[in-house]
Amino acid sequence: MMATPFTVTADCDLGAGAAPWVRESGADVAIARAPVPDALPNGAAGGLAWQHAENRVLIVVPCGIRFLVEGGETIRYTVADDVGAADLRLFLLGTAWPVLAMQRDLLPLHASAVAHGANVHAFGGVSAAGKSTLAAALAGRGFPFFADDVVLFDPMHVGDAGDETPCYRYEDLKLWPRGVDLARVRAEGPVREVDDYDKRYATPPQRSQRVGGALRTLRTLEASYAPGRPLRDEPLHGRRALKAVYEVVHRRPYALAIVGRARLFDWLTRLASHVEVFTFHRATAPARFDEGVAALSRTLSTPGQ
Amino acid sequence: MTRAHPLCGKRCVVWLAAYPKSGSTWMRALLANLRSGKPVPVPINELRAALPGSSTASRQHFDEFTGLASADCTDAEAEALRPAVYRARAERHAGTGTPFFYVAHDAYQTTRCGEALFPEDISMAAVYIVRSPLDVAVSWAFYAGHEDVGAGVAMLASEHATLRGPDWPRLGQRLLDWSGHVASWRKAPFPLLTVRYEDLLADTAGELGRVARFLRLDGADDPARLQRAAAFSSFALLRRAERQTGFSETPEQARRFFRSGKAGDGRRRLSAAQMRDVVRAHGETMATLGYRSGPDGVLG
Repeated sequence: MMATPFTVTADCDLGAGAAPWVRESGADVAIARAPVPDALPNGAAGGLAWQHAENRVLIVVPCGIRFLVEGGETIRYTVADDVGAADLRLFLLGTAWPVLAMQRDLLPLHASAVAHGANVHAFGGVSAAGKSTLAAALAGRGFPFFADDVVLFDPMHVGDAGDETPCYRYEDLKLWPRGVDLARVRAEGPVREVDDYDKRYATPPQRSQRVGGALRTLRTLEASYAPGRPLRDEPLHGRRALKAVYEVVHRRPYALAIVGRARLFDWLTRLASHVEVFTFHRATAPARFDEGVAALSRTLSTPGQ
Repeated sequence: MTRAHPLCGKRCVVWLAAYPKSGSTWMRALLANLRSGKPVPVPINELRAALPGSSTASRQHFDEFTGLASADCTDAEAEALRPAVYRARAERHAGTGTPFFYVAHDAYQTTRCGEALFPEDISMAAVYIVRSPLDVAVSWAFYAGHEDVGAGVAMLASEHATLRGPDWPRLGQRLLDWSGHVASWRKAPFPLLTVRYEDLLADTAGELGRVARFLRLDGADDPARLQRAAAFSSFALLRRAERQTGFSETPEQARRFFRSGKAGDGRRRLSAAQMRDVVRAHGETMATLGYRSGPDGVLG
């Protein structure tokens, strides 16, 4: 099994998906409840819910969680009294962990993925594009579930051993009720401990035992709108492939700030030149969901994929 | 060359506000074609590029400006940050010399934190597009795919009506009931022009001119340009374009986006009881908007 690119100690629950990363002590990264400043010094760049200064990133989540991610080595957090452990886990793994990964020269891709032996096939796209549901459904067709929502790509070790394109997973499968029905999987506990939010963890029919693999294909998911809404798996090359992988960068504003524009584009160029990039146009209506899954299943089964 | 807009400074946002299925997409097509000024229609899948703007419910905007995933947030959490998102977007657009058109289906209201959802300090004006609720009920039923006009009537009456939720491609939007939606926008603290869908149908170029003059847009006083924009945005042409190329905004469950483009569908498709329910709930507001009783005594 591939080793994880870093290890963590944590004083909170990170779920089964992150278990291979967790150590009792002596890890590369410490995740712990500890004081977090209200703001970083004046002039810090960032967005409405985050600030960036030097090697520190402050993230403020409206439900009452704050993270300080520092130097790729620590994630400090504070939580309001009424915030549940599940809420902390969601925002920690969904936002703070990818930020830490960027600080450690890893590129988080907004994608879910399945495995085919040691190969990984990822599906990227905007929120609600159906990435997780597609990966979960393919897990029922012989492609073990690999990653949910984030695939960590290692641009610094691309091509180290021939055509190696290392990537890693750490999150458990999460689905909205519609996704649970479409993918025909079993729903587990709630993703958040609040009203008005019904996404749940789910158990895929098959799960890859690997924590890492070789990223072979990356497909961005698009809803087909041409008359008849036909399926189309469109290979992308050159600038179109580069644009597609840029749009799949997870938490892109952080990446631009932390990694820097020039370095990010260097990473993306490596990604686009070593991984086959496609746009997968498909109908998204429930009645036609299986059609897309079957087509992808056939494609991924062909030799060379 | 487009000249700088006379009113467009920090207050560069124009809200194209409408209850769903009231003609906001048609208005976008009209404004895009007026702005384009070219001798060919703006392709329907290029409206976004042709008219600077966005939906107020765009998840991509939210995620980009906040650094959080809207899909991880409840509607209430996302709503708390939305005014700041609009300010950040307006700040980025300010200085271009053109208005930024935000399509808003939410009622004009305060967030649960007590802040105006659509901030006054970035608002140049609003164009409020209104359509007979009888017809909205029908249009919504087809858009939603169930074709159950009764569900459309019920939505119009629900003060808790919301377009939602986290698994939607867009952020949750609180509508209020139909009358509440109208009343809310009438209280907006910036200049507002109300445009009736039915008037737009009857005299498209004339109504577009009224909107363009209100917003002080290029071409506002150019009858030929207004006529051409109206012709390029005719329902027949939009429907044909959708049939030929598809429309990226047509929901999967709907047979088509540009369906009827007529006034009076509600009268034809709603039962007498459903029409009575709509008029009982909204007749007072309808009357203030100039909707008059037909031969059957029903407003619409």
